Amino acid sequence: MTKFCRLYETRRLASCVDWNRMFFRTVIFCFLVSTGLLSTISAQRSFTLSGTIRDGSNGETLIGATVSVRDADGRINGVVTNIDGFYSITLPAGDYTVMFSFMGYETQERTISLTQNIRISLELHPASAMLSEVVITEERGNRAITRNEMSVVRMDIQTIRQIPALLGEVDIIKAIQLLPGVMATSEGGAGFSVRGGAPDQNLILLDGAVVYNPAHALGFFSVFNNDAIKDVAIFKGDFPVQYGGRLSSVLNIRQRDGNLRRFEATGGIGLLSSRLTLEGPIIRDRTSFMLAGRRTYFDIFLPLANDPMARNTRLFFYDLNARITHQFNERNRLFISAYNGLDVFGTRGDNFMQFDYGNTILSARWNHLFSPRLFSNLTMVYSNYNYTTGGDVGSIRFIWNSGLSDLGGKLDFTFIPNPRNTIRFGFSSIFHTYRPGFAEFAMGGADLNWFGGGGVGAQINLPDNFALANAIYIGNDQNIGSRFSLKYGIRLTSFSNVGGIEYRYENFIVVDSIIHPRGRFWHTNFGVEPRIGATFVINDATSIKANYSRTIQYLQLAQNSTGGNPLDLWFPTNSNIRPQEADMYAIGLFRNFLNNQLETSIEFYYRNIFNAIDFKDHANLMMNPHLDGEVRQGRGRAYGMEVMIKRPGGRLNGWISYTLSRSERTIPGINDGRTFLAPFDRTHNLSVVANFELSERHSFSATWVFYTGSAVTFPTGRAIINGISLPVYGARNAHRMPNYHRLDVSYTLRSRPDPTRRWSWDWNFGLFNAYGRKNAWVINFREDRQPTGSVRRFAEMTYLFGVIPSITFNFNF
Amino acid sequence: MRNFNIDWSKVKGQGSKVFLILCLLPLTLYLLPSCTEEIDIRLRDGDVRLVVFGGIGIEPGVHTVVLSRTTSYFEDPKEPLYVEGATVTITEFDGNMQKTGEIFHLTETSPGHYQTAPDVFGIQGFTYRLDIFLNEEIGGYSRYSADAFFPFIADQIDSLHAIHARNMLFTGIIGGDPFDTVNRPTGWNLLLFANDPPGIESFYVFVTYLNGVALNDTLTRLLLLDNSMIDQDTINLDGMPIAFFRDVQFGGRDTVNVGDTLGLEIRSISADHYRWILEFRNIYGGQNPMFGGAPANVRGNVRNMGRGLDAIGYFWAHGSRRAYVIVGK
Repeated sequence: MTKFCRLYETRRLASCVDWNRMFFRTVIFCFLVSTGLLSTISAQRSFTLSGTIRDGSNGETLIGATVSVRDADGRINGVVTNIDGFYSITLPAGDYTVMFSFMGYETQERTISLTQNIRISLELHPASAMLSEVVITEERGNRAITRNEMSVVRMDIQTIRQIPALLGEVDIIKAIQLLPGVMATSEGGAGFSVRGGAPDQNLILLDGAVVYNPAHALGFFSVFNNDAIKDVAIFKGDFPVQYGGRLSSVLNIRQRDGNLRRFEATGGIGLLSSRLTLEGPIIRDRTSFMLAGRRTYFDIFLPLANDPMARNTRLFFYDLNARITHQFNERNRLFISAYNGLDVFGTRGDNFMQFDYGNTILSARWNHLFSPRLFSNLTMVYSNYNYTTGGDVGSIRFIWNSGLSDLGGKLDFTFIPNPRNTIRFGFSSIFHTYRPGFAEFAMGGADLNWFGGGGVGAQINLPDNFALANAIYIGNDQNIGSRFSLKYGIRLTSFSNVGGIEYRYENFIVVDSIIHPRGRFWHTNFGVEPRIGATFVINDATSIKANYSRTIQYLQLAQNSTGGNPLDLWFPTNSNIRPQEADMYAIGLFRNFLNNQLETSIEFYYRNIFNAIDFKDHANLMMNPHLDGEVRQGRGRAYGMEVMIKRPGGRLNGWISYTLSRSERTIPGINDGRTFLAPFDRTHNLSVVANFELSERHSFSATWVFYTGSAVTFPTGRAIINGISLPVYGARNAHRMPNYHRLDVSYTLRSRPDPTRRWSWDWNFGLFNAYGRKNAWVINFREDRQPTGSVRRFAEMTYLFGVIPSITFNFNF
Repeated sequence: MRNFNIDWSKVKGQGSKVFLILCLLPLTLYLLPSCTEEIDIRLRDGDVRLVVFGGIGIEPGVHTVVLSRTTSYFEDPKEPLYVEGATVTITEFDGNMQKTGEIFHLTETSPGHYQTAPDVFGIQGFTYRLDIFLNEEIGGYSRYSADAFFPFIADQIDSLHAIHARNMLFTGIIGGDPFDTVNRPTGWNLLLFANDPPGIESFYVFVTYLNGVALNDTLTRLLLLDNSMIDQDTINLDGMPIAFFRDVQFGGRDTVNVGDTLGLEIRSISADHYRWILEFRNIYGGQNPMFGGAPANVRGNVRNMGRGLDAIGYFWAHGSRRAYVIVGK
């Protein structure tokens, strides 16, 4: 396997393209043979049942709705709708009973005679609250058992909204941190580590475009406004073949399409921010729009402050989400999404200090059905992350600009030749522009009347660099008999550095630099990423699944702190830095109890990381053009066990997740080459999420989290130099922070249900850190000089949160 | 205003980081309503290590090297645990790393303090090798050695001026107030006129004196300046404000009056020594999870000649120049 999967490096791009082409042809041929496609073409007459399933209340497509088809002998075949609510199932001619269902919606049943291709597009209607418990358990059935995927968690936005949140700000990323194998990298932060990986190893996609910094306010809130979001899925392993580019996870977030039937407004007023979402039809049942905004308003009260500095401060963030969906006809649909968010911190009037950063994302997707069995998505994406920081403190002025942007496209095909196979293939190409920074310093100035009237200045231009990332993939999801499913695919990737400056290093010190003209390919890495998975259904309530995925990552974040900050810089692999690669092996047992009302799973994983990246001791990652010289690469491994017990529906619903894990690195040049724990290593991680529906109007929610303190480096001794105490350190990350635990609770009061009224509201009251646990964010070692002359030394922890109450009012009309 | 484009191959970049953190720290403090509390932490004791600090300067005189050993972190001995009875020598090498024949034997004048004869001085461009032979092993080893390059003295002080004006410093080693842009206080600004010769990297340490008493001669208060961030050739030292003494000092300390003598010592130190001071201050300053990674030992230059752990600390060689000005004249 290692030989097969090794990276092919060359500077001669042309020969590699040939190699790619030949390889791709071979792969396609193998697929056609293995899927039985060649024989299917001439097989017995079969027809396709297809269509789109929508929410009857607003016309929004339903992702993951189930279509079950029962033939005259009682045999059942089933599919689920894709991200566009579309389903397609090809069956031999005959009579069938079809059930359309979705969690929380009333099931519909149709009887059909399949003598030609049939299209059934229909709408499901939300079940009434009384029915919902029954419907939920009936509908879900044993999909968790039979679905040929593992290490994946999908969460609908309703579930996420029930989770108590800091200051009432419902947060997708905080919600996924409660899942097994996913952990927060620091208290309250939006960074997360999946199965022992680093935060920059998560691919975060919003409508197909990469979100490079998912955090506001230095990480305490995520950039995703829950009112604009429809669906969230996190892949912790078992990566679908269409995704790549990061080692640890894919977090796929989709925005809502907007109501196709009527104008609707949803909003909320919270302690920190207010939200307003407007949506509705532009052309009824054809074109809809969704426009969502969120802004914090803490700064509105700042002018009332006594402190002149506070009065003069600008401090806010906002998010704007927009989406237009247009259905040309049954075969063609267009989705255009946009997002813009910005954090602003600074002073009013003068430029004493400013610090602004934010993402801008645009994506357009054209969904086209060639036939009920073959459809495609053509997506164009643009993503930009930028920050500006600076200050003018009289005699020193300073400004720094940095960022990166992506421009690219991808074409994805899905081909369903028969109910046994679903083939996905496609390619993508993204051009990355890295702008590590422009900075200007100026010391002195005319107003200061310097002696000599001078001053000193410096302009720092870190050169931009560019890269082109390409990928082609093909994969098949294949059912073999009624109990066994296979999934296999391959992804071929290349990453080329194009133009810009190339530094040459010896022993991590720059010895030469070459300026490559714009457009010149000067270094290319190739990668082969096979993905294989299997599901064996033992009985209706039990299955075993196994999976192997290889992932390769060609860019990384210059971040060596656990918390991270918005100034962390993305930089690409090149002739100095090899791409990080990971092999993930996982096996799991899935079992449902109580007639599918209780879903449980246990998964074991082992991940081998090659060329794992870390930074040397005392690395300088800020405004350093020679970042490559600060990087050290070695091996990593992470392994663990994840347990999930979930009650998806019912008056008392929620889940318990537990992870036992370890994550290690062995990197020459760090910790004397000895193995050390990754900073996100947590031995135990337990989350309990419970939601209790007391009645239609009242519900309570609570979450409790517990995890082992992160691995940190504390002093193991002390030296006195020049009369000053200097800590002496031992092995890296050999100590632990204290264990972390926290309880959050919330209570929701909803308006009286009344079908005759168009509007509804709810109040949400929450307590974050309800029992006031003081969780250490950082531990520093201090000295306290006593009047007697002796010195008392002690450890001092900084904790961020006491008990934080919140109140939020939400409305919809 | 002079602007220079920087040749990045020359830049070390530490200064920018310090400034950036200086800018961002108020921001993090502002946003995080954090609290601190003493906490019980059990620390594992590491291996005991030798601690070395000392060096040789350009002025003839006694030069001292102090030897001690590390303690467990929370232990608080009255005095450092000095290492006594060691044999300490400094050997001189010329610019071609050939022995000049000069070997200075250091004698232990008080516990752990090893001193040269009173007429010893270092020469620019030479290298000085410290050899330590302990009579009692630490961690199983007794031989340590360090090489220190004596950098060329780049600075030529033209003059020093003290002028009474508003604060000209963005931050001062003494009394600077970086964020009070509206009401910049008045006081005595100490201005340096000097030449930073072009074409070489210069690393400076500034120590100020008031009536002969050093005000900032500790590792954590030294004022550092290097030309790697400023430009590739030369720092503009044409009236550069070095220190500021407020008219009204906090606690009444270091108030400067007309007639006082202000002094400035400029030390030219090696790049490695400069890096060591920066790392020392980094570690001394504590941690913030948003900036900087896992703390690591400050990388010194005193090597264990066996296979044991290197010593903590630094052995340096540096040159210096001094200038004085009488305030108000």
